[in-house]
Amino acid sequence: MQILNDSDREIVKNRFENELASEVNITLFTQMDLGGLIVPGRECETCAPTEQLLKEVSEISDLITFKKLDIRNDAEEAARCNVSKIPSFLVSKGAETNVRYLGIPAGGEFPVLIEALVNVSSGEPKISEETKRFLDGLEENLLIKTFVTPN
Amino acid sequence: MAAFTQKVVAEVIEVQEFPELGNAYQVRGVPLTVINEKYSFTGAANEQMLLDHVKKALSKNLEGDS
Repeated sequence: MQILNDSDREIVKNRFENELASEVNITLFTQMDLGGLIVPGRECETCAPTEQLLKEVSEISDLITFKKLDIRNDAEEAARCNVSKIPSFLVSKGAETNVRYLGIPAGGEFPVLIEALVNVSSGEPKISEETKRFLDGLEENLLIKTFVTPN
Repeated sequence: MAAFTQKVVAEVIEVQEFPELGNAYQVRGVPLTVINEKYSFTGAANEQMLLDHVKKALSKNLEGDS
């Protein structure tokens, strides 16, 4: 069953057609399907729906590439990306790892995914000149974590 | 901001899925934003408000509201 309904898909498609400027990647860290096996300590209720949602979104535009990695088999890449929880995904143009999402971007958080794709793709987020000047002058790195719930 | 420069790392955490992170950061309400692991504020913020919070977080010895 699809997660996105036709009207959501249409809205997203419109935005992508107008606003996606270049190729953008979604890299999901999850665990490989255990074939229905329930392994204590390896339960991941949202891994499958997160994968499906991200796949559905990536299929809306040819500019989006979806890649799925395994947190254990791809441990080196997970460490490089600072990922230790599943499901987690990155939105990137290339090898950068600075836009991360932990969990499923569902409900009220779905627009965050779309904004991230559009902004990373364009590299020209809709931020003010003041903010841009401030960021250009940053002498240290900034780590901004935002805790949310889906509704 | 993170789309503009790699100096900014933006991480969103769905706290219901990772209650251990919620506990570690003492999340009492959402959205909670934590800057550089030392300064935090609760509630939605527009760009200007976020910028003000970031500036505060970068200045020394200032605590957030939570």
